[in-house]
Parts: sequence; structure tokens; C-alpha cells
Amino acid sequence: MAGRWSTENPLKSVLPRNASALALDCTGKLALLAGHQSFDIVKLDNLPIVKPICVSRKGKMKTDVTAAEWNPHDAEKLQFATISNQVAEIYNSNQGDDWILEHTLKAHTRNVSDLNWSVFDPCLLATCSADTYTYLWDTRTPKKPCMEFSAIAGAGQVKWNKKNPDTLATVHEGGIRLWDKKKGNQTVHCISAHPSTIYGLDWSPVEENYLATAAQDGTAKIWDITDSAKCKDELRTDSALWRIRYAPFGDGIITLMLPQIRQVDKMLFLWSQSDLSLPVFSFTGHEDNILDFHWRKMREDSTDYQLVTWSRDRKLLVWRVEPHIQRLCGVDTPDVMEMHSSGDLDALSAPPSLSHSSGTATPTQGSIQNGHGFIGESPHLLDGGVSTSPEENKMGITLDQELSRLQVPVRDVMVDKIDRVNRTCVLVCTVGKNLTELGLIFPEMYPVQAIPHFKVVSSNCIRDLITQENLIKSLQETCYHQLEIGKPCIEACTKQLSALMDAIILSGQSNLSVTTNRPVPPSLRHNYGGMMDGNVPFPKTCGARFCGVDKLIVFSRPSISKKGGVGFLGTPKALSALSVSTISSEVRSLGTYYKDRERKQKRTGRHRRKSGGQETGQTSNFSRSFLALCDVSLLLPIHHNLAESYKIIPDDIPLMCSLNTKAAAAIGRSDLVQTWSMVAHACVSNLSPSSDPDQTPWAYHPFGRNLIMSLFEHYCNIHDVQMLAMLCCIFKPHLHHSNTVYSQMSKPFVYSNDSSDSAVFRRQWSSNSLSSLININLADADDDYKFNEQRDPQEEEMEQHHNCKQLLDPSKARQYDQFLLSYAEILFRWKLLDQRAQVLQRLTNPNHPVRNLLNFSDLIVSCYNCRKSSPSIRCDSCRRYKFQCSICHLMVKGCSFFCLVCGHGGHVTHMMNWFQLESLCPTGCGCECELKTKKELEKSIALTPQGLG
Amino acid sequence: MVSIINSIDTAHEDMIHDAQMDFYGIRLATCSSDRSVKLFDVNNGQHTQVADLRGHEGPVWQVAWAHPVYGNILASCSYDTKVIIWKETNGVWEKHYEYTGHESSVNSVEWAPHEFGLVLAAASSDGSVSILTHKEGTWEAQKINAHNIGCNAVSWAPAVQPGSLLEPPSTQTQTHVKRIVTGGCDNLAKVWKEENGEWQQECAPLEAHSDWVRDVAWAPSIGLPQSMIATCSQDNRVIIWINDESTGNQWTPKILNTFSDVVWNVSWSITGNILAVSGGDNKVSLWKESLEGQWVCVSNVNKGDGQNPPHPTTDAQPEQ
Repeated sequence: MAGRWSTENPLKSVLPRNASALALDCTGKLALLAGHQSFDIVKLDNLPIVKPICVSRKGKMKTDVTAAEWNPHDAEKLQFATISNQVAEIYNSNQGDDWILEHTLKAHTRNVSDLNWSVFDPCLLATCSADTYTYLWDTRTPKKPCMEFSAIAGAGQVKWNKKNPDTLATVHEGGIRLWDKKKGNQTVHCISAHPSTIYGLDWSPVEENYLATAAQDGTAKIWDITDSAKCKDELRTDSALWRIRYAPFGDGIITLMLPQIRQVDKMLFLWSQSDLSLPVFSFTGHEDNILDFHWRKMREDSTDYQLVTWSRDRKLLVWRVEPHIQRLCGVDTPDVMEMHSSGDLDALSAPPSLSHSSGTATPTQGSIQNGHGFIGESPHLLDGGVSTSPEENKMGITLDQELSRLQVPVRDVMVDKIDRVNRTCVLVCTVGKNLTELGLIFPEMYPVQAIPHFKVVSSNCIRDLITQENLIKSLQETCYHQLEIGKPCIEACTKQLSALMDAIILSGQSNLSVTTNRPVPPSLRHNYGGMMDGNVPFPKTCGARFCGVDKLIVFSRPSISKKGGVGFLGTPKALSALSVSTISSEVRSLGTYYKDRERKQKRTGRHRRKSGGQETGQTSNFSRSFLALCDVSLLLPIHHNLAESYKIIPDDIPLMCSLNTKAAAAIGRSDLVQTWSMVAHACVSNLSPSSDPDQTPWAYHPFGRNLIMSLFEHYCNIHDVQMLAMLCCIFKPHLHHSNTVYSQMSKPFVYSNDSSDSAVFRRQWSSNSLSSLININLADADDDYKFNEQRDPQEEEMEQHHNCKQLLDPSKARQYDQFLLSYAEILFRWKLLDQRAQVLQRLTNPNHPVRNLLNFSDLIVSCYNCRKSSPSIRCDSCRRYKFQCSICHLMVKGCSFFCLVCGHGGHVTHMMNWFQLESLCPTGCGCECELKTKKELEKSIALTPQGLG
Repeated sequence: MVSIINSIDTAHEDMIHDAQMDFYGIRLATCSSDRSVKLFDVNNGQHTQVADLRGHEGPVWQVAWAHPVYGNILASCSYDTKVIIWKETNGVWEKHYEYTGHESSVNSVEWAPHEFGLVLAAASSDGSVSILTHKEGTWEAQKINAHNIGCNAVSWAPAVQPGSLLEPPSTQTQTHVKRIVTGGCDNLAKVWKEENGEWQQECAPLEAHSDWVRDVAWAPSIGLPQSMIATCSQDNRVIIWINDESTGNQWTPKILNTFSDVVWNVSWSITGNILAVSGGDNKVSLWKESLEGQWVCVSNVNKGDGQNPPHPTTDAQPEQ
């Protein structure tokens, strides 16, 4: 007897019947092998004696079981669930001998792909399906799912978190979605994990937030769901991975390859998460493809771990994972000594070498290797030491595997009547009321050297033989193409069939002009077809945008038919539509997509034209969009010409009104002529209010404020911001004495500390005091300014009178300011800067960020003191203000005016006074500042706001 | 009512996905499946190509012009998951910044109102919206998990808070609140606002569409005390949402129209009362609110109007 650890080669038992799924119960005593006809329940303790209890399956539809799982809870330990086709079934037994079908869970509309019992709730089962839904079932209410989660792509796997009773994960093609039972049908989190389909998923039994995925691209990744930006760890193999499961000991993790043609021996690897560069162990011994594996539940205190595997040749193997293997996965095993002492050491040259690190779990000696299934396999074999022909490497899977993991990517095609024994299946394609059944027979050489045979079984839309032949020919081409690139055929066929049937049905004619190999210019080849395309919206190829003030830019696809909308096909939602409708594996451009669609529409509309030769190089023409710039000024209430000709003369309102009446008349706006004439009447001098508070002001007359308000209301309704702003200009009371825009700019400074201007200040506060005195929040006002609480009643009366005599409601001052600001913005876009300045001058509360934009993004100011340049107004190094006034030689803190050419300038008032008399720079540099700055401004309009602000 | 000033041959090798003009309406930016962004100067019926910006590795979905106070700056977003900010310096357009913080296609970009500084929002199919802020020469990114499945569009609210317009004036400096609306694959539009540097949903999601929301557009403000948002969706509908600030923070939906195909774009005129709608049916229509509050179609902008399509040869050729 050799060493105990190595002679315990897997218990090998052969079962009488084929089965496609393996499940182990929570006691570790029973194994379920679910097959086509019946279930075999095997008592693991009795092995290798196999006396399975056979439970024959009910119902007519005896299809392969995709997966099976025992209820993991002790209370329900004699209950198991299976999935096949579109239903899940729950079987139960009272005593362990008589198994009855307890519930049939029907809700999915496509094949159910996976199931999982909740680890926390014995009544809760999750199933997921290619129909994109994941359902939760309560076994007490099996009539319908108790909760549903929907995604865009079909779900391939569903697994409950092993630590958190609410979280579950599903995989959809290359992405992982996390759901929370409490949050309902809303993805909690989405991870785009792999660039190819994920087949295997497992949660860590230790860490709540860790899960592992295994994918077709041969990689497996460990994720921390709280930080999903990138995977925690990754392992790579050179062939597609089918399953991944955490080991119940240490940091071990087990991967199962997708079955290869001849390479049946090296499929199952054990890895240690501490170093995923190489596997620490390989389970070799099976003579055929391993279909599934599970860990057997052992006693709590046991350090004995057993792995049960099931292969296609009906062999059930039980492997014992020896302590030294566990040690490779970071388990501190106490019984190494025992192992050494009890065993014969003749075959034990390996353990010492095995134990030191994962990477060297190698070359266990020949004496062990021979005749024992349980060996440490040389990991480097993974990297190409295996002698397989290139075809086998490319063709990763067998027909069985292809069929069992098949996820049909298009909605209108179903794969039915799968017969694995005779290697046949039927594709059922339903487009509207048109049903076509296509039989597929897979020769023995498929998928390595042969393509399937096709036969139209029945169809209510293809009647003539020529169409049938064309259809089959096209599908065959697809298959040959798939064969060449080493990929399975069924999925590609379903896509192609769907596209072809669309074409056939829409055209109603027999010649299929679907060309499979039309070359696309390289520049049009896109990277469409990523795994996330299901979320990416379908590209917009037509649009309209308002730009500037009165322009509309319109772009659209060129269309061939003048009359669109015949036999209309809806526009797809997601970008994945492009790749789904792709003929063969070629990725389409949008141009060809629309061309094909156009053609289909035409056919339906019987707008056929005589075919006149194959179009060549038309793709680019077709892809060229139409783009036009439109003028929409006639639709808008505002007008560029009016903006130019309107005058704002606050000191002479009647003159202003008459000039503007003429301006409106000049462009033929009689409605505006009326308004201006009326406004002129409202402004005549004998209506102006007297200063005596005892006289009722004109504003209180029915034609006073009411009339003006109704004007405002009207122009608000038609969104005529131009007129609204002009009305504000007329009816706003004069607040400030100065007329220059520059002094406006300095007002914020005045407010904060200049007591001489307190009249203005108080007036503004007082209107506040009428309504919401308490709410005033003196943010950072000077504290020494006291609010006058005991005010002179007469003063108060005067203020009230002042508010009352205004034609505009002073409480709406902010809104009026906004009209002015909006109009100023439009004038800016029109580059009418003088008008803009005049409008801004009328603001009540100029303390608005628009005019405080003192950032010199384009101007660099150099400090007069230390000559260092920076865009700020204070020098960064000497902390002083940078400007010195050329006239008074003091620092300029607030508003400044300076020449853009010579750079000299100073306080606005000083400069204004100077240039009223002089034309040359006050410093005597000889620069004609006014003239040159004006030219400079005209040259670069972008600088203007800084120049003014 | 609508006249074509000029039709422009962009010479893009593939379909155009967006076209925008700058602040003054004199410079045009287009982007296409051919991965390029092109700039044109458009003046009096003439157009000249100014630049052909290459840098994206996938189809470019949308472009956006920044306010000219910050210089000539353009942002573009692409299927290649990148957002690129282009800047003109001394007449030369160059890549200024490249943002690669998204995991999936970036579908929409829009600059914030200039009052907030140089701030860009980008919406991606990975479900998040990025807010990129230019601060002292660097770009800071902030992410909002907006829509679980994917975010298709983003639009900024004007800097004016309509609610404050009717308040009595005060000398206090008005603080503007950054607000955006996003539309996503969860059939919802959501309104977000920034509070203490954090982006939060301002109110319950706007729920009325029965399929993906493809575009959202916040109407510009001219000083009226209400906010308006237009949303369009895969469900062929365009919905106008109105928030009368007086009645609390409540968005009331009103269906503008149900179209015959998917609606892709909505765009407001500067006066905020005309909406341009375009979609999968390759048609553009303009809608205006009548005085009675009904939305009526005022114009169908058909390219057949006035001028021939730029490629008459394409039409003449048989397409078999």
C-alpha cells in the first residue's frame, strides 16, 4: 500500500444511466444525477456500490436537465430542484425513498439557465433564464414568482450571496449584475467583467463582497463588489473556462474547463488565490469530459474535504483532498506528521516538495503518477505542452456543450427538440405570423471538420424551393465561416436565420440578396459589438439643434425613397441591434444598416425597381449625412433688426418711444407699433407722480400699473424677451445717478461701506421689510450697520409712496432683472455690445455673477511692482493689487479701465474724464488708447467681457 | 417660416451624429461615426472647414461648445468611452484634456451655464454622469450614479432659479444652484442638484415614459417663474415637464405628441417656447406652445424644402 494520501485515488463508480447534471445534498450523503429519462439518487456513503434510487420524470417533455440543486437547509434536506427547458421542478420526499414532484415553477418564456437556493431562507429559490428575467420563488406559493428582476441580456447564472441574505448576482453575457431582494427590480450594481461570455459564477464563502467569475476567454476573475472598477485578481488559462467554485478550505478555488475534444484529462484545476499565475493542482483521472463537480458537505469539525465529479462516460468520482494539498491553499493542517508517520514513504518523495509553495506543486514523481488518479499535475502543460491539433484548440467545445450553454441571441428564433443522441435539433423562427422550422443534423465530425446539414421542416412563408435552397446555402456559408474561425455554428445560424427570414418576409420574393462578404472600407469598420452594446443607445442619425439666437442646424440621413414610412420598421433601441442583424460575423456600418432597411421597406411597399447591376462603392454615399443651416428668425418673437435699431434713452422716454415706434414700423411689426404708441401715452409727463405722498399716484389708476402688468403678462406668454426687456428699460425708476456702465460695476463696493449711498440701500431693504423682515440673513454684512428699527413714520411713508408710485411692482425687481439679463445675453450673441451695455445699465441689482466675471482667462496682467505675470488682479508674490492708476497713481481695487494696446489705464472715472478731453494716453507713451482699444475689441470679440467687466 | 441658409457638405465618411454651432452662431462643429469632429466657419451662405479633429477611437456621438468667455473650447464624447476637450490656441485646435473615467460609451456632453465656471457634464452607458470642473488649470471629476442600466442624455438647468424670481429683491448675492436633468435606460428622467458639493436627486424621478429616455433638454430661462424640461423617448413620445415653483417642487408632465418612430433629439429655442424634435423617422418638426397652452406643430423642416439634397446622384442611382 502506498501512502494513504495518494492511494486514496478517487472512488470510481459507474452509473447505469447518462445524466447531465450533478447535485449533492446538504448532508453530504446523497448525490443526485439528473438525466434525460429519470433521476438517480446515489448514497455516497455506500460507494463504490451503486444502487441508485431511480425517480422517473413526469410529463411528456423529457428534455435534458440543465442543472439541479438540493435544498441546502437541514429542515428541507430531502428536497431538490431541477431545471429543464422553461420550467423548474421541485421534488420532495418524506422518507428518502419515495420521491414525488411537488411543484412545477412556470414563468420563464425561454430556457431556464440556472437555479440557486437561498442560503438563508429554505423556501426561497432563484432561477434565471435566457428570457432576461431572474425570478425568485417561494416554495410555499409556487404558482408565480414572488419577485422578478429583469435585465437586457439573457441571464446565464444566478447565485445568492453566501453571507448576505438579500444580495444575489446574475451574469449576462460578459457582465455581472447585482440585485438586492429588498430593492426590487433595480440593478444595484453592474460590472462589465469580461469581454466574452461568463459561464461560471460563485460567491466567496468567507468574504461577503467577493465573487469569482469564469469566462469563455479563458480567464477567471475575483471581484470585490464594493469596488468594481477593476478585478481584484485574475487567472489565465489557454482554453475557455466553464465553472469556477471556491474551495471550502483555505483560499482555494477550483476551475473547470469547457470540454475539449481529446483533452479530457486536464480539465479540473485547483488554484490558490495567493498566487494565481499557476494552478497548484490538477485533478486527473477522468477518461471523458467532466460535466460537473461539487464539494461534498462533511462534518463541521472535519478537515477532510471531498470533491465529487461526474463525467460524460457515466463515471462518478469522489476525490479526497489531502491535507498537503490543502496546505497549498494556505490551510494550516495539523496532521502532516500523522500522514508521514502512517504512510509508506516509498512513494512519498513528493510531499515535501509539494508543500513549500504553490508554484512548485510540480512534477510529482512517476511512482505516484502511475496508476493513481490523484496527482499533482505539471502546470506548465497548460501552456502548450499538450499535443493537440490546431483545430481542437480553436474549437473549444463539443456539440453537447454548445447545446447546453446555448443562448440564442435573437428573439424570434428558438432552438427546440434537441436530441443529443441522434445529434439533431430544430430551429423555430417566428416572424409575426410566419413560422419556419429548420432541422439541423450534426454529423459526427461536427464541430471540428463538418458543418450541420440543414432541412426546412415546415414553413408557412417559404413555399418555393429556390428560396429554401438560397436560405440553406446562406446558412451553410455562415457555418463554413464559423468553422474557419473555429467557432460553433448554432448561435451564428440563429442570427443569420433571423436576418434572412426578415428579408424574405419583407420582400415577399425569392431572391435573397444577402451578401456575406461585401468588403467594407477600413475607415468604416467600427468596434461595434462589445459586450455592453445592449446598454448603448442606437446612434442618432437625424437631429435638429437651435444654435446662436435664430439658427437651427438640421442633419439627417440621405434617403433614397422620397416616400418613407411604407412597411415601416421600427428603429432599434440599442446599438446591439447592429451586431445582431449582422450578416455572418462582419460588423456593419450604420450606412449599410440603413441601406438594407431602406431596401426592405421598399420591397414591402412594392416600390421595386429594375435591378441595374450591383452597387459598388455606394456605402460612402449612403453614409453621407445631409446637413443644413436654417434661419428660424421668423418663428421667434425677437428680431435682430429691432435689436439694432431700438434706442434706449432713459432720460427722454417719449423720444425713445417715438423712435422705437418708427423702428417697429420699419420692419412691419404693426403689433409692436401699437404697443410703443400706447407706452408713449403712459409715459407722458403729466402722468408722472408727484412727490406728495397724499396724492394717489398714477400707478393706482386702472390704466396705471394694471395696464403695464397686463402688457408684461402678454409678452411673457409669447416669450418676447426683447419687448419685456424694453418695457423694463422704460418703466424702471432711476436708481442711480451716474449714467456710465462703469460706475454700475463699482456699485457692489459702494453698498458694503459707503454710507452716503444709504438712501438707495434703505430703499431696497425697506421693500423687504414689508414682507419678510425676519428672514433677512445678513450673510457677511458689516455688523456695525444697524437695521433701523424705530424709524421715522414720515420717512416710512415716503418710502411706501415711492414704491407705490412706480409703474412696475418693485417686489418683482428680480424678475425684471432677469428679463434684462436674458435679453443682454441675446444681444451678446448678436454682438450688439453697445446695446447690451445699455440694457445691463438698467439692472436694479447688478450684484450678479455675470458682471463680476473678473477672470482673466485670456489677459495676463503683470504686477506693476514686481513685474510678475498672472491672470489674477492681486499679485501672487507681493500680495498687492496690480493696477496703478496712471492719473492718481493709487492702486485700483475695483473697476479699472485700461488700454489693450499700451496697457496703461486706471480708475474708470479718472480715465473717462481724461479721454473726454484728450485722445492720447495720460502716461505720455503716445498711444491713441481709445481708438486702438476699440479696434482691438472689434478684432477679438471674445475679449470683450473682460474689457467691460 | 423656416428657410435654409445653406446646406453643408461635411465630407464625413459616415453618418453624422450631432452638429452644434457656437455661442454666436458662426462656427459649426459636427461629429460622425468616422471618429472625427469637424469644425466649419459658416458665414453668409459660405462655409469653410477650419479643423478636422482626430483623437477618438470610436464613433463620436455628441459635441458641445463652451461659453466664449473661456475661449474657444469644444467637448466631444464617443463610443470609445472617452470625453475629449478641444481648445483653440492661436488659431490651432488641439486636444486640451482627455477624460477616461467611464467604462462604457459616453452618449452626451453639455457645458454648464457660464455662471458656474467651466463645468462639463457627461452621461455614459455605464449608468453614471461625470461632472468635470476646471479648477486652477486642472480638471476635477465628480461622478453621479444616475441611472442603473445606462444614462443617455444630460442637460443643465439655466443658472436662474425661477423660484427666486418672485421673491422680493435683497442685496444678498444670489447663490446659483447647479442643477441637471438626466435621462436613462430605466425609462426615467431625474433632476439632480448640487448641495454642499454633493449631487443629489432634487425630487422624485420624472416617470411617464414607457421606454428608454433618449434625450432631455432643460428650457432656457427668460425670466419666467417656471422651469420646463422636454424629454423624448424610444416610446415615440415627447413629454414637456413643467415645474411651477409656486406649487412646490412638482413636475407635471404633458405629452407634446406621439410620433411614428423613436424620438432622438429635443432642442429648445433661445426664447424657450419653440421645441425642435427629431427622430428615427429622419424628420424634423418644430413645436410651439399656443396661448391656450396647447403644443402645435408650426413647421416641418424638410430638406426637400427650398433646396436639393447635396447628393442628387445618390437618388438617381438604382439601389439594387
